[in-house]
Amino acid sequence: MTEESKQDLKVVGNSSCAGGQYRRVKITGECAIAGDVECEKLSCTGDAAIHGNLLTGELSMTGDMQITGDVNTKKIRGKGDLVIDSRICGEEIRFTGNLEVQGDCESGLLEVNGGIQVQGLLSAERLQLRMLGPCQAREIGGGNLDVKRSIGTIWKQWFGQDSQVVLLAEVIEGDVLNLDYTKAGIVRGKDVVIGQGCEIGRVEYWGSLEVHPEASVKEQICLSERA
Amino acid sequence: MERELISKKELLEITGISYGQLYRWKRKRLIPEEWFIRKSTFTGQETFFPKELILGRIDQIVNKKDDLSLDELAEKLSQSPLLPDMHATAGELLDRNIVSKVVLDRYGITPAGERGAVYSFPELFPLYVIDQLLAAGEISLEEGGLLVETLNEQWPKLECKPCDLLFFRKMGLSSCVIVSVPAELHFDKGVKVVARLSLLDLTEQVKGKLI
Repeated sequence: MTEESKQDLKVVGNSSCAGGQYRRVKITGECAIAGDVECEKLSCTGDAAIHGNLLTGELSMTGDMQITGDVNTKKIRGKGDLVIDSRICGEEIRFTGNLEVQGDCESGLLEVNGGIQVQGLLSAERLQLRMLGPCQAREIGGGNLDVKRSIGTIWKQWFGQDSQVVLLAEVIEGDVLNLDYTKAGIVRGKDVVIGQGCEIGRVEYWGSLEVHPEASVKEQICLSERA
Repeated sequence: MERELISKKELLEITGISYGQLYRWKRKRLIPEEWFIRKSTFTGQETFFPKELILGRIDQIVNKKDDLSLDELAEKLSQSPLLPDMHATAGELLDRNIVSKVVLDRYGITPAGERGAVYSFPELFPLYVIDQLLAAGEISLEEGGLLVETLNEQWPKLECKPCDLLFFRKMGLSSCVIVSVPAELHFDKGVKVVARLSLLDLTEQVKGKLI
């Protein structure tokens, strides 16, 4: 299909439509899209469900979105609840709210404020996670990983509900790691900082390791200097 | 055939690359997903790679990443997994045990004995395939000819889709077919499937041997 023949799709209100190739897709309200969607930009305010794969340059959303297929995008900006039944691959993901991915979640930059659940691999060159709810991933890998509790957790602390605000992972691997409130089996990295509230089975590091007095690390191994 | 594996930790130590690079290359599809093999070890889950393939690939990436951007490189590596731009001389094919002398003499592009003849990848690949099958004793030399012909003819039409090559016999007659995967084939009772090979795996093997 040539560039000119692609059309915009605008949905206002409550409706459903077929997938296809579009220039811009704009959803305000509630919409179910049956089939794969390919577009330059998809923006959604409200509630959307895509039953298929999504290939887009930019996804911006506020509200709820569910995608059953693979998501391939450059940029995601959003607030709300995003559920992906398959996998997601992006360059720049900034999300506030809850992000749930059944497969792998890979991105260059990944900034999440809130909660994230990834059943597969969570990988990012730069991960910035500010937890406000339970976070979980089978495996985390990347360059610079920074995990902290969000400032907002202070409210939960007052009501004694902050025990849920932790990150659970089997394996965390990265070059520069800065972890708070993380429960993991193995943490492997070059320069590792284990902050407060962490419970780590084993830390393997090449460069430096710092452990907060309020963290527990069962075993720490310094791997010999790398070539 | 059991492939030698290497753990992620060892890989990083040997090659000196960082986790960031490894994951970036994975995301950019420079390293195929299939190469990430998860296995449980006594220390928990670990990721392993096919040693030959990954070391060759990382070497390629490290050497080329200064000239090409990662996206360009990804395009080059992934665009034609079945048609890499590689060449080898007959002598190299023999020395590296990619193709045996019998096969080269019979199906080679030049008459026997010329070690200097240059083979492009599409020319040498069918030879490797039948060489494997011959070595396993699954086909005869004549049937090899059929395979070479089929591969040469169908190769350009595959457009680099992942394919399986099936070789089967019925009542003494042999035939082969190339199917794009995933596909299930159901034959009648008289058919005996002699071999089913993944062309993608085979190309990776050849690439690994050529690097």
